[in-house]
Amino acid sequence: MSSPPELGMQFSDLRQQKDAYRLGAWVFVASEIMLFAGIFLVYLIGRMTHPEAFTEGSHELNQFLGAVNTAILLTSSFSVAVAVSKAEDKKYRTASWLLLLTAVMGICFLGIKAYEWYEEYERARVPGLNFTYEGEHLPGLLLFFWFYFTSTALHAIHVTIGVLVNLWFAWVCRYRAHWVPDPSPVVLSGIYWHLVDLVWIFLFPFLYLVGGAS
Amino acid sequence: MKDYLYEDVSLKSWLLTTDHKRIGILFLLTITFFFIIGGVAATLMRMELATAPGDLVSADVYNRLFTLHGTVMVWLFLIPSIPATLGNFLLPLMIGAKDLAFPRLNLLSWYVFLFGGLLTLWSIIIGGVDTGWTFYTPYSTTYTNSHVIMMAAGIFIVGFSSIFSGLNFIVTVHSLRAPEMTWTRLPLFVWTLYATSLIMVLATPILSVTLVLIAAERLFGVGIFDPALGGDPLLFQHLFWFYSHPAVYIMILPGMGVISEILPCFARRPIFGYKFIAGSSLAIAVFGFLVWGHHMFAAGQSLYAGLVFSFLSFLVAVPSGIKVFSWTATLYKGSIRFDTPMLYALGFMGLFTIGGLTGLFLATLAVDVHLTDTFFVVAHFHFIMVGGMLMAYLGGLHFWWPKMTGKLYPETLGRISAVLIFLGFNGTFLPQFILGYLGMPRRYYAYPEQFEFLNVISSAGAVLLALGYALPLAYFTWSLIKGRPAGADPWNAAGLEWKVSSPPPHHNFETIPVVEQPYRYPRPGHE
Ligand SMILES: [Cu+2]
Repeated sequence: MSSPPELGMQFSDLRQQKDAYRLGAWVFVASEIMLFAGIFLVYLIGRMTHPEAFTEGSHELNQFLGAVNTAILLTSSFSVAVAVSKAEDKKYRTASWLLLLTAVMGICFLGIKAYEWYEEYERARVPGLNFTYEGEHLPGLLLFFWFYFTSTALHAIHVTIGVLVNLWFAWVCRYRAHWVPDPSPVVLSGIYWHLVDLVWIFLFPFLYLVGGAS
Repeated sequence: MKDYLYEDVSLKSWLLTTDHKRIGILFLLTITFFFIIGGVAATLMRMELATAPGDLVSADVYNRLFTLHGTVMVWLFLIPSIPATLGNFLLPLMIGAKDLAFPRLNLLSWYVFLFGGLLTLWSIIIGGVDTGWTFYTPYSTTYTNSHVIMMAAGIFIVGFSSIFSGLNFIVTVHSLRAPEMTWTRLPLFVWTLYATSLIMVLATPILSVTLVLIAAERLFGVGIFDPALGGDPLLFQHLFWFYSHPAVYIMILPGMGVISEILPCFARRPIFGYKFIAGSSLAIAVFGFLVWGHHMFAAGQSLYAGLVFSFLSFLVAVPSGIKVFSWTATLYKGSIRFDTPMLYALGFMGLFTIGGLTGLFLATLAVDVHLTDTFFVVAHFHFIMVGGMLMAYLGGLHFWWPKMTGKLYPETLGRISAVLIFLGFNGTFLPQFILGYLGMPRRYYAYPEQFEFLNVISSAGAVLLALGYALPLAYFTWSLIKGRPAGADPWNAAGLEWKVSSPPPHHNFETIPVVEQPYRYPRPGHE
């Protein structure tokens, strides 16, 4: 019995290999969730300690662009989900286009995010770079903006990796469809992209909305 | 058919290997190096404490020594010790697999570990850190001028190595078991590795966050932990112990697994209470996440929180007790052979039990107020970490050394080392219980005259202990060159790893191995 070339020597068949990769992706997601959970926890405690400062911080963010970015990311999650199911039906051309679309939306997200950072930089709100503030909420507002930049930057790194993974699978599905084993590993990039989306779904209300509305 | 050691002997083949056995050996060499560094620091501390006045080193150097000792021993030795060496080497062999699920991730785990470890070492070389391995705030973020950020960065990176290994083990246990290797036939060592991996994957990210927060407060003056900046120092302790208490179980659980392999083999009896031992490993992993507050009884935590954490800490003793009783019952009516691994395992049982019971003293609220930050605490966790984990690690190393290298070590010297370590360990740490009870605080480089006698005994014990560690280092190395060939199964042991030749071939199994019930002792057809 000869084994297909894409089968790792540690596996006995492709089914086992796919199960292993899928479980690996989920364990990775669990670990990532603990990472972001730790950040969110400390954010919530900061918010309880400095409610006014955090409200002021929320007011300063660009809610409109934040909402646009949320819409973009949610739509991209839809397109990646369809891409996964197309790939499982062996419709690799369609899957490739959808993955490309997902990646493009990810790039749009990053562009808008970068513009927001630039706005905040102009207003001297980047801790460690140019943070200056004279008002009464000093320690709290510094904390808020540190959280804002750390969490959105960490998230942006995840988006960037996701964009690269999606581009890679888009290329494979388009030009090297015979590399794609059955069952297809495209689902891995789907799981990862949903994680990226999920984290943002928490970040957006935490940073932009809570206390920022009135 | 060449074995994994001689398949290709070039340096490149070692540095680019994806063979779990070779990666286990790479980890073994690396953590031995770090163990020696941590051990040298401990030796210097015991030398300083041999006399009451602070005469050998300055207070500041002493602070840096115990920080070095704690950091290196916890993160660069104990956490990876059994999982990354014996676990890496044995897990695929024990479940009848050809490798781990993600061999390249496994190699990456070693490189990440090496890089993080060297960064930590660099922070020590350029001057060290004086906060203790616990990095308590606000001292670590606002007041100290030592190299906290560099060391935290090193530990942060090492954390990823843990996560990668944990992920790899979990997936391997789930998906790569041989067809007949059901969950209830898994060796107990595999069960403990599985439980350990869960903790590694879920707790380590919290440590990463905590270290990043420390760096942020130091670098940018962001007020997270320092009350002067509007932060809360207790928050740091919550985050730190949310990782570091489960980390204790990362360190002890694999040791318990090793003991569960050694005892049946040298008592020639099947393990008693297989399902209870397996289940209690998972129970320990789960409960371990719920008891972190017992490190903060005297730190200003609310009394009600203290009560709950005290109660939960007592509960953890139940699964640990189940294990100790099951091991003891395994010995009952066995035909016991006192080979080196067995001596280590028996030493483990005694020392771990003392360590666990003194943990209950500390989990008792009122008693803990008296004992917090004294040498009693130091003695307690060394009984778990050194008396427990290190004994198990050495026991396991002796048990599987013939498998890993294909060579036998000199048995008499092995037994001498086990006895020496047991005696030296008790000499070092039993007096520290009394010292702590009498009120000697930890982390002081000088102390009142009346504590000198017990400290001298402790330092003398440490000399024996050091000798005990030097011995295996010497004869293991010697055995590589002069040791007699071991054969596939020198202990006449059960378990798939003994079915393959020693050292095992490159891909472990030529054909899918036949799996039998675990711990079939006495061996059918042999005795
Ligand atoms: Cu604890």
